[in-house]
Formats: sequence, structure tokens, C-alpha cells
Amino acid sequence: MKVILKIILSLTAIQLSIAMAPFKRAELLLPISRGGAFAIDPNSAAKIMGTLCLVQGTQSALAPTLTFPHGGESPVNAMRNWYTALDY
Amino acid sequence: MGISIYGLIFKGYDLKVSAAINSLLWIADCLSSLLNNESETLGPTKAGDISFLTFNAAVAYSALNNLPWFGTAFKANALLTFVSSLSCMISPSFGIKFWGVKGDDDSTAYMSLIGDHLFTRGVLMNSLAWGIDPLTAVGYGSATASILHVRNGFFNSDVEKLGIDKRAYSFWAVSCAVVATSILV
Repeated sequence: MKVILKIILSLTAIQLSIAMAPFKRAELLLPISRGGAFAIDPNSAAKIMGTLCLVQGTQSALAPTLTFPHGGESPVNAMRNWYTALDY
Repeated sequence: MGISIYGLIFKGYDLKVSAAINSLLWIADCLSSLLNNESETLGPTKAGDISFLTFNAAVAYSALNNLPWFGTAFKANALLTFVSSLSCMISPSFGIKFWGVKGDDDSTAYMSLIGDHLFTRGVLMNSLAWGIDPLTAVGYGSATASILHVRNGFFNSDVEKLGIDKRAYSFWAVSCAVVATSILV
């Protein structure tokens, strides 16, 4: 079962590599060198996480209602979003 | 987390640089809260703001002046982040009282979410403070974030009432899991 799952995930990673090739981002996915599934180069994986965090933090700071729509534009919600932004 | 990763992984800067930038942001927030007397209207308490201000000021000052006690200041700030996250994450209602957060009926759910964010940041900071290399520290942070996103996104009834988009939560949980696996396994 684990082997089948690894094969499926590796094939998905290879497909993504091919899909990303025109954008010169194929190096992000190195399924063979990492031995199978969930195989992103560790340094690139950390960079992806950093980029996601920066985007989320900026969004929380500049567009609070996008992150926590439930609270609206109240000062309480703005405060919650500041802390979210600082953490991200 | 984003600034730490940008400084340490993208740019290869010293830990002091990313720690100083992070702490300066917290200092600005604490000063804004204190000067606008937000403890009366929004929270946290003045004691809470002053404690965060003090620990972050120590980190920023020691980092910017390249002082030998930077490591101690950074460890202390990492522990403060970790401890304050536990009070919000494990018992949000206690966290609301402890930090003097004013709000509405949804505050419990929000405290739980903010506790998760702080906890993840605490894991990253403590890993870096105790000498783990930045890449592995990001892996630990991502693994923590993945678990906590699953917990709050799918097993927390308070958060469910907020109507937070589960697709966005799933996206974060999966992304963090992939990053953590790529780094740690």
C-alpha cells in the first residue's frame, strides 16, 4: 500500500515538474533524488513556506476581512489580524 | 516565520538580522498598543504589552549592537512566545482572562487560532535559539503548523462556528505537511 502511494505521489510530482518546466521551476521538484513521494528539494520547500507565510502575513495586515471575514472591520478583528500578521 | 525564512534561507543572513527585524515589528506593535491605551478597549493588558516590549527590545538591542548576550535574550524571548502560546492554545478562556483581551463571543475561537500561530512561531524560535540549523527549524515549524491546522480546522467546534474556509485550512495543512516531509524525512 505504502509503495503504491509513493508511486502515485512520485508520478504526480513528475507531472508537476513537467508542468512547471516552461516556468523554469522544474528544479523545485526532485522526486528521484529524494527517493519518492512528497519530494521537494528541502531548501526550496523552506522557501515555499517562507513565501506563503509572507503572503499570508501581508494579507492579514493589509486586508483583515479576507483572513477573518466573520469579525468584519471591527477594531477587535483588526487587533486579531495584527497578531496573526506578526506571527506569520 | 516569513521574515525569518526570508532572512535565513533566501538571503543567508545571520540569525541576528532576522531576529532584529521580527523584534522591531513586535516593538512597534507593543508601543502602538501602549500609546493608544488599547488595554482599556481591546487588550492585551499593559503588563502583557510591557513584557513583550521588554523581551523584544532586549533582542533587537543586543542583535543590532552585536552584543554577546544576544543568544540569552533570544532564548528568553523564544520561551516567552512558547509559554504565552500555551495559555491561549490549551485553555483559550483562561488566555482571554490572563492577557485581558477584550472582544466578543467569538474571542475563544480566535484565541485558539492565535495560540496556534504563536505556538508554531515558538517552535521555530526555540529551535533556532537552541542551535538547530535554520532548514531543520523550518521543518519543525512546518510539521507543527500542519498538525495544528488539522486540529483547529477540523476538530475544534469553536472555530467551526466562525465559518472559516476549510479549503484554505486544508491548503495550509497539506502545504505544511509537504514542506515538513521534504525537509525532515
